[in-house]
Amino acid sequence: MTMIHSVVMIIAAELQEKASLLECAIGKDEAPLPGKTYVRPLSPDGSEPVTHWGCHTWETQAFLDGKEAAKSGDYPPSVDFAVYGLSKDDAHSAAAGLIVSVRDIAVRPRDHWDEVLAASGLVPVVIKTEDLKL
Amino acid sequence: MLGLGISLWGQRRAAAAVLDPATLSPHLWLDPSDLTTLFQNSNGTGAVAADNDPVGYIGDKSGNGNHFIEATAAARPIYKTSAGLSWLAFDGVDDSIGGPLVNGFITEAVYDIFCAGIVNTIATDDPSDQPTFNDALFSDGGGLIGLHFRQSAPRMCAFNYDGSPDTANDDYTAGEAFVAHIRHSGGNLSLTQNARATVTVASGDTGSVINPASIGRNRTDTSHAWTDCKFYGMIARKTIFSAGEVAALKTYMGAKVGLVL
Repeated sequence: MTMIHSVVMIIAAELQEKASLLECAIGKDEAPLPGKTYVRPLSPDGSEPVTHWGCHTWETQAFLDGKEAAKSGDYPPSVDFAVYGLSKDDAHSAAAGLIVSVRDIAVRPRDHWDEVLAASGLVPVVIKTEDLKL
Repeated sequence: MLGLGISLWGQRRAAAAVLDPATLSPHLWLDPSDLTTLFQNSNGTGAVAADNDPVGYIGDKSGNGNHFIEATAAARPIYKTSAGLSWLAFDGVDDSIGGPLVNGFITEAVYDIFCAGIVNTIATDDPSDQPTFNDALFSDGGGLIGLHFRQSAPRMCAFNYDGSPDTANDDYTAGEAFVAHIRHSGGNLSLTQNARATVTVASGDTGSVINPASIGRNRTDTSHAWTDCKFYGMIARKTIFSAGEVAALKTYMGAKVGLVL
């Protein structure tokens, strides 16, 4: 499963949970549900509320082919949406709403990430968690 | 003179060649150059075999079971190999690998850690020099220990929290290979980078050692938690290494990252 692509994916906040569950359904993430594929909070000006969530991954051509097929509702028969609380319509809306940018794996990931955010008019949101110091 | 020269050369070669870190009884030993310890999936399946394979599991070679894992495919680093070196590449966007509690390889009062890496770019500049808000090669989930980096007067910072933050800082330029030796013992925290002078600050017992360790990110902040870096290995023990062991480990870890130390 050698990776050949740098991939940035962004999903609207209202579709984040479905998109994350979809990643679990296709075996790219796992419990605790809904997984944590889309972990970078984004918004137009970097302030809350978060309007989108994003991620960067290194991937195969087969993964990208699968993403493209999913936009048409075409999934391998082995994918069991119900196990993850998804309907086919849920999966379709999540797949169709996904922004996917693909570059050669040689690109510096942060450059790719920054490029896609700029093109999408999005900025990372700083959500500082409380100081735990357990 | 000739005889002496040959003798010293022979000793150095022998020391570098024969060190087996297992003989030092470390509590953690991660070695990305050993493909038998790397797997693509977090459950330890799918051997890593080639450049650009994802890594979801790094086995702990110390025998103490402190394996590092990542269940989310998008968050896994990839294995890279070139010119005889091997490393894990973290994307600086959302990659990390972790899991074991730090008490598997440190105690509140004592730890001795060697790690080898390259931070490609430093994207953070928190002036408090705390790992919570700065890029980190490794850290724990409570923000109590780690090795982190900041932009201004660019530096690497060994961190220990004993009720207040303590950092041992040294200059660092992004893109440079390093071996960092972090020692916490006798109420002090020290950082030695490569062959540079050791920096030592006072630091008492670590406030907690029950948080999970991570490589490739700091602990919790969701905006700049992830580090654009290469990871070449890590060895840690709950007791300090002897001077001879330190010298041998510097040489050993230096070779992992392409340095002669």
